[in-house]
Amino acid sequence: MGNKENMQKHASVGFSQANPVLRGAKRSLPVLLGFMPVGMAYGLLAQQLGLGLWDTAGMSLFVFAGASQLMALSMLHGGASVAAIVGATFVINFRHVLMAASLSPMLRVWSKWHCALLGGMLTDESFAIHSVCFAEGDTDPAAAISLNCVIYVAWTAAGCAGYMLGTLIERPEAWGINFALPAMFIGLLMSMLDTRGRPALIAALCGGAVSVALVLAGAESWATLLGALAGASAGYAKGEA
Amino acid sequence: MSVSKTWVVIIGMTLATLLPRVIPLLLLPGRRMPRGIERWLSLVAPAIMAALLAPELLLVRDTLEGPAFSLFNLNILAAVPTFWVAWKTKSLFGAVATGIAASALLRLAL
Repeated sequence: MGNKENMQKHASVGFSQANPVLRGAKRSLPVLLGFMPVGMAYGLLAQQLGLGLWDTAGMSLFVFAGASQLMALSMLHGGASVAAIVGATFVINFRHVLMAASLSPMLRVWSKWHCALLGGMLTDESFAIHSVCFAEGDTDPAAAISLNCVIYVAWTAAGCAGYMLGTLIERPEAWGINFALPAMFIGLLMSMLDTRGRPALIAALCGGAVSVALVLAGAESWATLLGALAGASAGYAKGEA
Repeated sequence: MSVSKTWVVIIGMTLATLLPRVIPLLLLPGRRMPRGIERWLSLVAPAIMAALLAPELLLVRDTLEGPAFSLFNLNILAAVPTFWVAWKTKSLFGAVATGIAASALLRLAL
């Protein structure tokens, strides 16, 4: 890869900003665009299913996990038991064990407090950015935790905004914002493939295929976790770094 | 649904999401891992991104309904310029903006 491309990549994640807190905040901007529509959709759905504003905001503040929150709403609506909802949440979010474990080799010099803060607010989006930045050598805890904090506040605010907008936006898909989330995953995936080579491409193709197969088979809550395990293993077995 | 049940669910979900996030980061850093495991872990990130993305692109689904398979849906069409821009520019912002614009334009056009 040429020098020019490296410079562009650094620019894309705000590497040039010297102040770590601002640098982290700046990095969050493109991902905000990706997940704020999801947060608003969550708020909208919660309002339509009859949750109170405090329940809606409380779930975002405490649970802080998009897919699980949307799933919990539909399960609550369907009359599922507490144990079923909590169990499904655990299965869906178990992928964070893999994410946290894959970040950990780069955090040898971090304090326990910094590690706990990084992990406690870990999301798919922040993980992807951390993964790219740590690999590029920026392991400043202030930048990473600042990014997490911005995402945390924005996620909760988006849920509340969606709740209050209620039925004002009738067809959000007409504005293209329902594609913001997949577009964000595409952007994040491409920056990972660029730096990690052929094994990463195999990992991605296999992970995607297994995940789709599991969703089709009706095992949606297992799709991401098992797709990640299968993809990483396939990339490990087939590709040489 | 009762308010108390909602909050019992929220507290249970908080534990179910917090523990998998925090425990590995409290236990693993500082420990020497075999190189093979570190290489496997470096492939987790692209595998997870693809596992999140692929169903979003290929299986159009309603939040409350089951999956419905449809090839040549708008998501797949909008993904083409998004992949291209993401690969060429390596800009996350560019990818998201392209995706949103492509999706909106396709919906207008079709």
